[in-house]
Amino acid sequence: MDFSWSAEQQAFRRRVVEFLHAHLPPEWPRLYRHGPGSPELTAFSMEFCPKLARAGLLVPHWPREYGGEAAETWLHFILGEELWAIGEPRGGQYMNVNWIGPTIMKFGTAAQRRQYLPEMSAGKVLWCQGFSEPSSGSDLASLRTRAERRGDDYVINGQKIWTSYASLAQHCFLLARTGGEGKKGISIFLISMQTPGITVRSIPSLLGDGDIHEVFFDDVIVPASSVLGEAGHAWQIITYALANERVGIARYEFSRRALDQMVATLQRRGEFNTSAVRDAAGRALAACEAARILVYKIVDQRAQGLPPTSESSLARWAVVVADNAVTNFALEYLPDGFSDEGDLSALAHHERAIAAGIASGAAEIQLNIVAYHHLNLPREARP
Amino acid sequence: MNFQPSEVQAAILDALARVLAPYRSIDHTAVVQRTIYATELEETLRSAGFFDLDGDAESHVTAALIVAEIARLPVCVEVNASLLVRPLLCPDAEGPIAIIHSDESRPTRFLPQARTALLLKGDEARILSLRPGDVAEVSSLFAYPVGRLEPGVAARAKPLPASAAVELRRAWRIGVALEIYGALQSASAITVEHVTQRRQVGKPLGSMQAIQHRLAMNATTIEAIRWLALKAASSRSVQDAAIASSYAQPAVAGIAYDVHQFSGAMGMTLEYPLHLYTYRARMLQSESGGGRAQIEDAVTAIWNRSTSNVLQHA
Repeated sequence: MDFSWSAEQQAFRRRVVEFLHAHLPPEWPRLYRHGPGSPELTAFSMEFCPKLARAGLLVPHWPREYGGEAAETWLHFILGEELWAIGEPRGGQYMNVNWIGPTIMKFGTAAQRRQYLPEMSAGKVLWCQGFSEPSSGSDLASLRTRAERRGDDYVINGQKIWTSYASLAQHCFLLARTGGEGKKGISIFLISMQTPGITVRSIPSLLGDGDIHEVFFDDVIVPASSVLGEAGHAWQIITYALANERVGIARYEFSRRALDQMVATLQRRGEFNTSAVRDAAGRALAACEAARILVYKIVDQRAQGLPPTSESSLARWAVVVADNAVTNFALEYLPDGFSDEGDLSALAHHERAIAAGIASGAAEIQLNIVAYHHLNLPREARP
Repeated sequence: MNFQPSEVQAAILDALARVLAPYRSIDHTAVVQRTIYATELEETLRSAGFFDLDGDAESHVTAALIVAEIARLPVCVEVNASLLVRPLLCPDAEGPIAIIHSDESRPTRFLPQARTALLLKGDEARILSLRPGDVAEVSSLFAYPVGRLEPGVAARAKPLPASAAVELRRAWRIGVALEIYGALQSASAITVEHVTQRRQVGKPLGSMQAIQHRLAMNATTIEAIRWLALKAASSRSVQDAAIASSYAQPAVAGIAYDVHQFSGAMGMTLEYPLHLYTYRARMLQSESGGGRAQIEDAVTAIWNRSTSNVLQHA
């Protein structure tokens, strides 16, 4: 049992930090004030990710045959910590790196791997995730977007919502119903967002303009070869994919650094002296470190080659608590940070934190998973 | 980074599991006391060598793992000070060891059994060999044996080296966090068992989402307490220890409330062992100055040192 970083891991972190210092522009604080899905950050990421790729810092954990360096799991995670904590200059491409690419590697055909993985590992492509629908959020298995087989093609009709990156993405990792009701009737399609019949509408939101969208599919014709894995087997695949995604974002690290910055601001102002403010900061600090240690436990399981467990949901809940503790601290003690004239890190953190319990599966669903699979509590009777 | 116990630690935990097996449950139908100090278990642990760990880095983590396991039992034995503090500060001290914080006349757990007391006040740590008649037993609600020093006894205490107070507080906090983990983990486990079996309005209590979610949140907190404390034992960092205890102690009140609430009137009887866990945790809430003091020390340790988290990774 050892909770320290190896010399190699420390050197890798220094390499990442030095790269970021050298390549992020002076105006970066104003850019990352917008979320990873914003048009500003997306445009920046399309320039920045190829630089990361050339430096071997985009997909170091991927196998060499797909452009990676077969680096150990922890190096990938250290990379994610440093990038998310500084505002995520990869924009939405972090999804390619964390789970879309690895999922295509595991379940895709040779042609799909050839088509999609090189552009991901080069940092030149943005994907969106077509999961949620107006009537299917947490109850994803009830989704209605339908893909009907016609000869060698599928014809897709339906609607997705809350889709990040959709207005600028080249591809969509889409869930659609090819069979009957329930999980077994769902398939995954890898499709171009340029396909005729796809309409994207941006939804103004608290996360910032351009971050989330509605996507409409009207008689969208895609080849049958765009199905990932076997038709009707989407659930096993997305369970694998989301197990990686649930702790794939180092939110606690961004929260911790935002908290450090908030405390520094209060100290400069001479306002970090009362027991109330110090107590609130301390509780937020402990929440961040609790989230960190539970996420590290999941990464350790992955590094040891162990299968994902319900402990991912424990970690996810702890991360949500930490994100909220830090933004609540800022709202109470640094309200001036929530204007464009204030400390932009508080604002940037807040716009990410308010989505923490919703993105990648609602926090309450994670609690259900903990209740059923970690505590083995009886299931709630369904009507 | 490796969350798995080493081979040596795994072997020690296996051996410990065999020793602890007879003590893992108690007879529900008997009227249970408010506290059960397992003298026989303590003797077994002592003769099997569990109290003979060194103060080296791996042994410190091993000690922490043992403290956590023993804290899950319905019975109690003094292991925090004997396993985590003694090897570092007073290897020749005779156990059990009680740690008296701040006020020398303060009612303190394990004093009735203790052969040694460590007195911690501010930056000063002292050690006291106890003699018959030095301690008066104190009746309390808590599920630990509690006693207080008779007047004048503390004057015999001898000072420990200047750095001892910092090290004593650090190691003690780790132990307290793990003792809280163990008590809350077992309290949660028997509550899960209760709400799974107990049916009301035609269904198990535990199938209701209002109960499930609170137990799930508590499970997250309990698991985080455990790993924060083990990390602190591994790093031996004052900051990590303060963070672990600042997270653990304030968590007790809410979780203790929930497990009693979900156990209903059954949880208030002495026939049901819930109090053996919750009334240990409730006493641990106040150790070393209580939750607010832990938070203040964590804040001072982290932000008076540096505001750069990057340094912590180096």
